[in-house]
Amino acid sequence: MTNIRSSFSKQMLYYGTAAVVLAFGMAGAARAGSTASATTPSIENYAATQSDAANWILPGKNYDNDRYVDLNGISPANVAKLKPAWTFKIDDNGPIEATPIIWHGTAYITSAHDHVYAIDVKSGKLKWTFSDSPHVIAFAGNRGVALLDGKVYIATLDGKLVALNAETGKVVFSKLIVKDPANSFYTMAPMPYKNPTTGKASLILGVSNGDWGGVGNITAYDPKNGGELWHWNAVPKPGQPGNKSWSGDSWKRGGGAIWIMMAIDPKTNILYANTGNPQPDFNGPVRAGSNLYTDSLVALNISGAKPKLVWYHQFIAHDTHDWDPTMPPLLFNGKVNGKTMPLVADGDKAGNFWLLNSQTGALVSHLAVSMQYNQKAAPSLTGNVACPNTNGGVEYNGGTYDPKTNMIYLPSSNECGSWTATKSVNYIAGQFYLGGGFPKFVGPNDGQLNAIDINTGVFAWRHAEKLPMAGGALATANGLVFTGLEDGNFAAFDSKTGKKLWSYGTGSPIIAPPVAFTDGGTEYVAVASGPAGNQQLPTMPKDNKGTMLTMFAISK
Amino acid sequence: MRLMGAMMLAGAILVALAAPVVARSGSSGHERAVAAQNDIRAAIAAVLVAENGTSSGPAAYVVAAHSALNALVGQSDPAFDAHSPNPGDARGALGQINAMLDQVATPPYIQALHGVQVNLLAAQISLQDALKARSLDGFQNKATEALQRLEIAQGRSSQYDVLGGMKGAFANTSLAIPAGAKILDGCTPPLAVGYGVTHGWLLWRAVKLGQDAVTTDGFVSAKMVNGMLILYTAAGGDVQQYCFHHHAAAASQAGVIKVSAPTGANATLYNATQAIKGKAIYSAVCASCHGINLQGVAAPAVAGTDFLKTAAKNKYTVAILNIIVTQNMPFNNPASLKPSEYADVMAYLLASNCYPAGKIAYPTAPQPGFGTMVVGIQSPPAKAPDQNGVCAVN
Repeated sequence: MTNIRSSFSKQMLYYGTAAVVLAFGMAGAARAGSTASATTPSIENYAATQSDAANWILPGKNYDNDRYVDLNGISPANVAKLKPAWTFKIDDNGPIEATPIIWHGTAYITSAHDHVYAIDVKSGKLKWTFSDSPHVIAFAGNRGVALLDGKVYIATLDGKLVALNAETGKVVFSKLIVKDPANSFYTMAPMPYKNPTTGKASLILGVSNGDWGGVGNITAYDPKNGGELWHWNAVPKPGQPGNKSWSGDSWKRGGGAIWIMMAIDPKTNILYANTGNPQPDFNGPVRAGSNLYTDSLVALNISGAKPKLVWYHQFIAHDTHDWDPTMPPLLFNGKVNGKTMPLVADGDKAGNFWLLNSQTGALVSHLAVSMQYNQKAAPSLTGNVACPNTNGGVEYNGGTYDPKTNMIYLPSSNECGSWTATKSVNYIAGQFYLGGGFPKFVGPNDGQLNAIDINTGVFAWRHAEKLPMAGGALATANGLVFTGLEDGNFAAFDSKTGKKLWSYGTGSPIIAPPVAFTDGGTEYVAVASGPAGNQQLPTMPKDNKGTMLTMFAISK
Repeated sequence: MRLMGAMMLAGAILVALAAPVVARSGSSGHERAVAAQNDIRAAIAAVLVAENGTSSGPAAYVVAAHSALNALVGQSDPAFDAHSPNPGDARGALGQINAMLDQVATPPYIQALHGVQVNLLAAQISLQDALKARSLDGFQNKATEALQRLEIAQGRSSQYDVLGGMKGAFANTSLAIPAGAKILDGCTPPLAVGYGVTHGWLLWRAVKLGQDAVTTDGFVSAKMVNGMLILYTAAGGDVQQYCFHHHAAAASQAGVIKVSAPTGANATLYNATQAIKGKAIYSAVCASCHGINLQGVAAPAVAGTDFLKTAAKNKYTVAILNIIVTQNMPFNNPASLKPSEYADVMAYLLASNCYPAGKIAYPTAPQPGFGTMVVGIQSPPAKAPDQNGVCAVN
């Protein structure tokens, strides 16, 4: 705990109380079916996410992405009694990577093909569903919705921003917002943020178009109509700093997609975003140079009319293995060598865990969390082996920070691949732009849950699993770490010892992150499971129980 | 007076309705093309000043070569010389051309612009060589080389392929159309003043003599129709013969996804045994991502209406489909099947997309014709498609 953090928490507590009062006041109105605002948070509620244990409105819990929740009811002593309160069968079959978004008794979960399900937390009954399957251009997957001012927002696989009425699920507006619909789409949850200059709400989105020949960008949209408020390109154009890090005109399809949930420090208005790998993924010679700002953590000041780059930290210069940083950047004030520092943690698919100073971007510490082998060898025509492969290392759900233990709990995967490059590469609209093949599996694939002691920069403990791990993690105030496993089990660990205290088999692989909250005096933990999608391995069972959301609680 | 006004207004609306607007001219495209053309002219003029001059000292040549380079490369390029005049605009001809080329769509002028780009780059090299020349003779050799290349980049309006250059692109495509000008369907006879366009090609321009400022530059023939002068482009004749096919195809597929003349339509590309073998391979290797019903699970649909939408939008040919399947798939183990197995999968995909079976097997190496066979809806389909537009294989 730090000075900055504790003063921040006090502020949060103040807002949190206000929010609870507000919610009580509106509960009656919602029953009367009059105001729309009671059904969703307002932009002010987003400043008070940490202290609000009754709701979970940002995929990473808060703008810090720490996935830490201040709940004490479910404890190491009673977690063995945790059972499903209900299981909701999701009819849209497909890999599910979404965080359930919770607001005053309603859980909103999104499926692979952008269906939205509004479910009553207590009963597990469906309130409404939105199932306008978009035209999938690349991968099916969605990582959550945003709730704001009576609307549910989803950014879709065909590049649209769709606003739904939060009470009925009816479309309020639907607007094509991507610049190039042939290769650009959205998988992340829109991030509501109040612009400090205008005082108005915005929805911030990073585009998914890496590996398909697009150039990454972060764009802020007006929640009222989907109009663009500002735009930041991940690859600089000629004349801009950094463009010379690309040979010829390779910058034009340079990549740097913004796949991963971003973090914001509302005190400084700095947005922290991970940029994706350069393109073509596996053919380096056609894009000689360090390829800025791909494979980087960028810090953008978003207080003005246009974002300003404050600093960037490139983890892998001239990546030829699709090893982009995929852990949602995690902001916190932690103790390093006994000294409290403003920090941002990150992780990449090459199996690295990075700790940076969040104000300067300077490296604080680095730790290999997956098996690494032959990483300097670029993919060749005949193929060469390197570890991890594109599904390995640290995956897209990242980890969690527990301020009490000063530890980050981070699942990681050990997978190896044989990498091939092609002599030449051509862009085909709507197709991979790889200059090679995604790696073939080589050797065994497994994973582990790592407890990283921030003070020392090394592991406090590691717990091995037979399959890779991509289920994210959740830490609670009384010493539990929850994570989902690819064998279908949802498990709880002792945060101090790493001992597995409880697990429950959902019957389908878990590659979605868990959430925890309290409702009507009951503490709930929820996680989605379904087919493994791109994480599917030859060693995993081919069949599963389908896609579902499971809500856990201890029955009284 | 009031009545007259109302009638005129009604008339204006009628005209607007009657004029089928087929495509918006990218006004910025037109302006960029004009700017690029002016930059090239300026570069040529700069070189000619030195060539025609009487000075024998190197200074005039150096300035001329720098000025010409400036007009070509624009202010933000490292080759720009701030100490010499820039007779062109800030972006330079190459900047304008690059900006026009940097788009996902492929309008008909792209080919010509590629020719312009290559020749401008070659002219740039010649001019840079001229700067290094140690003698008047050496300068003149290189400057002449640059002039030749610039002339080819300028091109001629009678040609609209890669050799058409700036003039060819300008005369025969939508680039000719200034912002705000009326665009009409080039496939219908000219009935009103405006530009006749189809699929980005300019076929004709109709003008009223005495009302419109007219230049005949870039047009190959003209005739008077209904009191209007109709100026025909070089491309017009060749493009017009496609009009009939396009309109017939559009009419027969109203309400369905339009595909541009699938030359692979109803060609028999595979045999039935192969498709059945391909189905088994697909179920084992592909179905986990693309779905047992081919409608996609984690990955996109690969057959039926949804897939053909992607194919039509991105103009996939059988050759492109073959590359995607044999080189990119399966996603996590590309190029891992035997060539004969890939051929079977291709056969299954074609069959599922309602392509008819024939006697000859789908080949293990793509045939030359595959590059022009656009993947599209089969009319009539080989079998009755299901609600997803997929034909069952069994």
